[in-house]
Amino acid sequence: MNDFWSLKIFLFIVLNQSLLMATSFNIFPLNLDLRYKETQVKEYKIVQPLNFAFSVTVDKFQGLFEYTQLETHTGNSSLSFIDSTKELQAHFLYLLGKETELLQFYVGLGVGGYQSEVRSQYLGLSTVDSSGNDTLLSGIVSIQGQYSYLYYQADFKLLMAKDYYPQPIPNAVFRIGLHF
Amino acid sequence: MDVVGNIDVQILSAHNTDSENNTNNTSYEFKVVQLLDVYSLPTLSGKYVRFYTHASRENNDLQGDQPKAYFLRSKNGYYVPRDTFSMQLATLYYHTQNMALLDEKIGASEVNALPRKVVIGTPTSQENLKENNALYEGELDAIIYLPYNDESLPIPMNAGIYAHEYFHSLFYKIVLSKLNHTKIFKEDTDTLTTQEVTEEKNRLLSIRNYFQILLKGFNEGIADFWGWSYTNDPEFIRYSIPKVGESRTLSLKTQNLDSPKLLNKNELLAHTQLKFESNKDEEAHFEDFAYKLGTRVALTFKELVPVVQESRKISLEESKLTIMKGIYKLLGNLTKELLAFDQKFSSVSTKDSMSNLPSAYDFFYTFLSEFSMESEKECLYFANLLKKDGASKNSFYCSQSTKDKKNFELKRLKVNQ
Repeated sequence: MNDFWSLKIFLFIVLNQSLLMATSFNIFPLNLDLRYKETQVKEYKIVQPLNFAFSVTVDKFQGLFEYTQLETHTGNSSLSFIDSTKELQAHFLYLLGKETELLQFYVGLGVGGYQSEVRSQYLGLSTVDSSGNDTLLSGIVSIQGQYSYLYYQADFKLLMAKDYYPQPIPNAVFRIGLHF
Repeated sequence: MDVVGNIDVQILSAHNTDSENNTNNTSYEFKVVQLLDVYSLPTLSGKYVRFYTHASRENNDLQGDQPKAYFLRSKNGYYVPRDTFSMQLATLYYHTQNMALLDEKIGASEVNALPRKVVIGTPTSQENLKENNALYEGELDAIIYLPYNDESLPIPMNAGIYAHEYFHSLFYKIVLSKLNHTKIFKEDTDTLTTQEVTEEKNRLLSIRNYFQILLKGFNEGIADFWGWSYTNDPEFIRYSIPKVGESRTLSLKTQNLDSPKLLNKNELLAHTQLKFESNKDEEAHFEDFAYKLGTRVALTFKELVPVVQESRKISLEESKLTIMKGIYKLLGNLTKELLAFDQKFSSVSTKDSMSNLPSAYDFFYTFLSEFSMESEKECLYFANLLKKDGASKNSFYCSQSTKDKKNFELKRLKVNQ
């Protein structure tokens, strides 16, 4: 019985170590997130949400976890609105091709949730309303590369959610991060 | 999936904290209201309104895109506009719906076809009318909001200004559109070119200017009364256009009056005969003077509200409604009288016509032809008003109606010179 447990523990350590050796992590503190957004008068503008992300790569698979926050201010000194949306997304990517370490191609799908809040203010009056959690889906094509401890990535996404306009929203994110 | 039907939306709207006492306590507050019969929430199109942006006029037809409104569905189940523009659309929908329901209450539901057309987010090329204003365009039958660049409450969210503009659509359809082709409003004076007819031509121009001031005065004045009625605020404009100041404030004290008083025929005629350096100056002067008359007209109807409320022991809202019904009838009768005047005008000389011009006070006689005075107090209100007509040689007294004992009649007493 003791031998059986010893063997199990030995195998667990060996397998996990090999998995760990094949696993890499990237943290992206610098992200330029650009999205197309439809205005109320049917024009388009580019907005830049705040974006933080990290990814985990195991063999040909990659998990990209992303937090974004977009805040839009409208109005004047009497009446103003702050519309903020927070998103949390997990993308599951697959390595499609790898020319060198400097140039890799991934494709994948993302799923996540978002929550919105509107702060409306008129002179001294203020009201804050928030939505519940809604689902966000995305399709992603990613070009990535690694140079020593530096990791860079360009993601091209299409975002779909029930009150996102246009449907889908084209989104490009350029990231520079640390690889370890 | 699109959200349709009756939808609860949070808007910023006028709220009177003390409406029953008719005090100036209006303020704006965020409140959840129900928008009725919405066909599509993202475009806010529905039974009551169709919005246009990037609008243009093509052969007297309004063309343009439907704007988009963005909402958040709150945890409590109502929708919250996410930006100023979406808030403006939601607020305008709400006010239009209320005005259309008011039309039904006063018997005017046949006048305005639904959905009403509202233009927003469209700059104009007109030099004197580029921003921070709203107007009703009769030929397009649309309320147009020009871009708002000031730091106060945006005009599309000003409930009183909306009611004001909405009234113009009633006045245009019942009165102005019917007079468009009459001699006194349309005849080309250039056909009268010889030396002999110069005097005649000047008289005709004076008459035309006189009617322009008189009708604009009533149009603007009753529109201000509509704005006040909807908000219960005598200074409803100041929330969005603070510089308008006291000239349009509907209070006797601010207008330096002890009791309601109009401008009489001679005062109006004196202004129509003034000479100006340019047409622009002339238009500006007539406009100012028409607004002056308008404020007096609005004040006269506004001061009647508490009199009716008190004498009939009804609510403030019921009293307003009673007077609005009377005004709606007045518009129809006014048109008939003006058309009759125009008919006579063709058969007599302008000199004779000058002496028969109806005055602002005469328009109140017309109002009384369909307005039942249910107490002596109501009758005395009009007696006091009409005796201020300096051009009239009449004095008035009130007596119980012989036809209907419940009502009172205003009788003229000819004063010998």
